[in-house]
Amino acid sequence: MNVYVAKADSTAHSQEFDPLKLHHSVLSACYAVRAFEGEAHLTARHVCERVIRWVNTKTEITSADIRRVTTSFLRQYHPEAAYTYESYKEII
Amino acid sequence: MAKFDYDLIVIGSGAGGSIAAAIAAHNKKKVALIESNVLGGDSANFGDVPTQTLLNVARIYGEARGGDVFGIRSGMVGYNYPTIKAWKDRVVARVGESGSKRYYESLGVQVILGLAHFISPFEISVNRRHISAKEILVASGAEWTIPAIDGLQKLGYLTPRSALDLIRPPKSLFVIGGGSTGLELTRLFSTFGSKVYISEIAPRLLPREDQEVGELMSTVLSSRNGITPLVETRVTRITKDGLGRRVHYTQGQNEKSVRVDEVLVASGKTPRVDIGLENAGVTYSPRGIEVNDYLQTSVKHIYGAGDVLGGLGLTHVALMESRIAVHNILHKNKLKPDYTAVPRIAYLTPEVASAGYSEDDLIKRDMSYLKSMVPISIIGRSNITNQHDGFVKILVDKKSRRILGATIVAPNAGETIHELTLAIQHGLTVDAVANTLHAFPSWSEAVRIACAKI
Amino acid sequence: MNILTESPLYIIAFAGLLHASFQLGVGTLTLLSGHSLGSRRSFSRLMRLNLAYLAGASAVTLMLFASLSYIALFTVSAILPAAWVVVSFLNIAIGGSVIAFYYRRRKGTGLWIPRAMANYLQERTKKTKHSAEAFTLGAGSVLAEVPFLIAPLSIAILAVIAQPSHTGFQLGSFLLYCLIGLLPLMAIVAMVGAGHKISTIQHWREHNKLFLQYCSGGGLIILGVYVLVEKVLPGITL
Repeated sequence: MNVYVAKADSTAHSQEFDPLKLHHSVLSACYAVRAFEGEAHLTARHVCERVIRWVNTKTEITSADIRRVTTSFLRQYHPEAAYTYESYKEII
Repeated sequence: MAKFDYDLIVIGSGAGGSIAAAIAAHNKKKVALIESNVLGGDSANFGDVPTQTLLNVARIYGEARGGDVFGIRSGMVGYNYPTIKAWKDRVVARVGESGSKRYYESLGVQVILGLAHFISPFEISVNRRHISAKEILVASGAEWTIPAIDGLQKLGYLTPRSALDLIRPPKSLFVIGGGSTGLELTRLFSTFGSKVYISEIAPRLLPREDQEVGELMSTVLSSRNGITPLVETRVTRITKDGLGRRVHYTQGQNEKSVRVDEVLVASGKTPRVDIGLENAGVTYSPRGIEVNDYLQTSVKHIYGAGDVLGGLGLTHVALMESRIAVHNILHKNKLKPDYTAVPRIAYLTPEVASAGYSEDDLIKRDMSYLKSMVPISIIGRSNITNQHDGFVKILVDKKSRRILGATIVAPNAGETIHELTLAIQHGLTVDAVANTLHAFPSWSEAVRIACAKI
Repeated sequence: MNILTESPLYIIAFAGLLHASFQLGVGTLTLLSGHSLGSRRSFSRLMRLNLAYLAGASAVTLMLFASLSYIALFTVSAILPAAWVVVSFLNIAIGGSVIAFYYRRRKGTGLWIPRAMANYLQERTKKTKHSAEAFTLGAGSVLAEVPFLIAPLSIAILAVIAQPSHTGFQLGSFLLYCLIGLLPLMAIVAMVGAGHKISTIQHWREHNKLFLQYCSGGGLIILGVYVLVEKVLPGITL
């Protein structure tokens, strides 16, 4: 089942959820806190698996939902990366 | 002024949402009712109705088998479980979905089957369609909590919902959770021949009820063949043992294990709050959605009712909250739900029913009270029916003599308790009840005697 | 003139310190470093980007200070007392508004700038790959914060033009202000280069944001009052 991500501007079409984009963003968060490559990939994989399992229980979600759920799972594996991932939008 | 698709969206068609949708539609409002599973909600389809149906059959079977003492030859009494299950399914079909969708649509309620997810405070996404409403009622209910026990997920487990769909009772069963649901299912399966172990972390079964209730139930269950109550017990892990499972648990300092065919988890419910409440700005915790006295959430146009608020998880409470919530949505003068005299019933043998405060509640609140406790064995009905286990307990305010709480452990306690529920709700004194005629030989006589004793 | 004991240098240094306390540039650089680290860019690439950002911020700060001083020299010198009054009240007002609402009232270090601008800066920071882009970003972040920076900058400008024309003093003032004002950016570049984590930097910023906010706002008010007392009141003859 395809899950869609609704845009904040409801006049815009929602986009299909892209697990690769999520994987990349989690990976970036891990690298930003100087995690080792292997550790970062493993963390990203575990987190993405859990997020995808959650996403598959929905039909449409928002990007804020993805961010929140990803942060909560990432916190269990790498709290610093989770903090960075969560606070990216609140730095400026 | 913003234009909305509906006047009211109700999320959940169970006890917490159905009444509100019907009342709002009756008041000429444009209503949408969203249901992600089966119309009618948990109570009608997977909870009270099917459970009580099976328990009723178990009661009949149990009474028939115990007829020897009365001179009834019960040696040949048996059962066919698939037929019992089919009967249960027929009862659920009568109450559950089949009439509901047509009924709501006849009222003008649009029924949408799908998963609701908040996109913004006024907008909900269901089946990728965005709908908006001026007011929203969240009645998404709760689901059974699965504790983090090693091996549980891997080896599988039953919940009170899936246990009702078994085509035969398990040979042996380990129940995690000694509350009313766990005990009811223990009674059900033990009546049909299962060997049942029921574990509870608290020092007694039915930990929410008074201490005497838990102690009596432990004694009664222990005396029955096939039931082993385990209190102060924590399940640590579950491992595979042949075709079955080995449940490892600790009781005090001791670690023990037992081999069973199935494990049933009945250790409480978690509110279904994963519906994008953050996008709506609604405050909630793992215990449920936070509401004020008028059932409004932190976002004023969003209300909550039923199991999603946490609380006692009772169908009649959800129905009351649904009515109050829709009243507050439709009218300026808002009402508060009254939880003073909520009856709580566990359909065991004997039944356990209570209303109002428990003794623990009164002690915690530092309230001065008088107590009266009367065994049911002293009344005529007990002698007639040969049922002696049970008591009636009344708690009364010391000064005003108003009844604050009551517990009945007796056959038909679930009916008898309503007299005391009425008394608590309307602030009647214990003397008023004691001075009211109670028919002989009824179980209610014990209520009159208990009240008169204070 | 003894540059060590003349008060304008202290005013300029204090103004520079207040310039340093503003966070938009720091936040943008932190974000840039985070994105660079997250993209697994080489260390040299990371440092190039950060240094280019710093260079952009420095260049614009210097240019702003110098150009506004030059303009003020011809326009404001004649009405210096009135200018001191305006500037001191400007500092007090901006100081008060910094104390009231510099940071958004939620988690993180989000500032009270239009969200569209903040989103734009975040997007641009994410897409920055070349040194030239980083330089422009640094320059842009200083310009974006001019509504707040104008407070300490204006006092520093007046402090410079109030003194008799002395090239060495003027150049020294510009460099002193910029050096102090850009210290936080230099610190971030140094920390990132030394191997510190972005999360550590951001944690510190978040935990101390109220302290920075009150120091910054309070400092502006103190500077404004000082200028009022030191420069304006003595000129008022009863």
